[in-house]
Amino acid sequence: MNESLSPTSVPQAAESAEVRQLSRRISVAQAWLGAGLLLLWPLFNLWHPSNFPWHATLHALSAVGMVVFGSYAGHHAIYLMRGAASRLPAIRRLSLWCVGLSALAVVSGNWAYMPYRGTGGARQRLLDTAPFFHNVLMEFKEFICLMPLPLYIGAAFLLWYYDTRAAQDQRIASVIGVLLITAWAFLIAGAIAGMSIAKVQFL
Amino acid sequence: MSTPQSTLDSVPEPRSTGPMVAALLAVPCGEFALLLADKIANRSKAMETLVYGTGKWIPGATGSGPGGAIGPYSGKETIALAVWLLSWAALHAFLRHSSPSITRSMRIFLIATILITVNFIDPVADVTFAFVNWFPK
Repeated sequence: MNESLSPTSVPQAAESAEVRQLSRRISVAQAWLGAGLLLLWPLFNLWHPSNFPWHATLHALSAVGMVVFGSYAGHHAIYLMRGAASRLPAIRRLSLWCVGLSALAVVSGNWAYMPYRGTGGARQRLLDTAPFFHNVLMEFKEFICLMPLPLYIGAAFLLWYYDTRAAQDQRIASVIGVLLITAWAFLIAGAIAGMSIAKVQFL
Repeated sequence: MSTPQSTLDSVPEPRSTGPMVAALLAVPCGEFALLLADKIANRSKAMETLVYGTGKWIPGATGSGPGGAIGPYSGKETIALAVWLLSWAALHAFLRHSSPSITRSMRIFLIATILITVNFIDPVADVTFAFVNWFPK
């Protein structure tokens, strides 16, 4: 008995092609819808009752961008570590995005940290109401969020330095994979800490 | 038409693993410098001034009022950046023609990274970094 999904007649084949095209459009629409909704989250910072909406928005946008690109790079890194050298072109592109976004996240983080420490800022409000969120969570977050940048630069450097050898030498692929996955771990931990703090007090 | 021999010829020579190990291990070096700079700066006002002094080149490092300033954190960032880049350059120069074990290097990297990261949780560091209390105030 033939259980495959292959069409058995010409009309069926035509309809299958149409369904495949529609499915592809639905998949693309789902990805764009997800990206759009995710971007709304940091953009809502613009309407916060704060004197520093742009500081918060830029930092949140770069952080969410890092979560998306860093997670995608980490996803490819898992396959790379298992020997799938075909992932290298995508990893090359994503590493450069991650270097840029992590640099922007550090710079915008400094920018947001200024009003956080300012007179009557979020730090003071946290210390008055929920000191754990500053004394432990923020003290942890402000340091670990610096770590993805050197890790992504290290991975991008090795991809450039070893060039095509990265596809032929599993040792190089593994080191690049470890750097990308470690960077992902730091950025996710930092994002969770950052979102948890922002839920208690925003800038 | 390519022959098996010409295909073999096109495979690049294996290179030393030293640059990989350098890129890998420089990161925990920078991370440890960040941790140490934080713990030392918390020890006394004099130490904090010393650490802060290295970071005043960063825009926004100084300031007051609601707009605030980055403060001593700018010095900690600077020290970590300098140690990371210097240790990377030194390790790269020292190891570029050698081939240390990648497995061992990755283990060292992962263990060091985990241990240092855990110490950024203040209640943990209060115990493990108790030795900074020996430093003069």
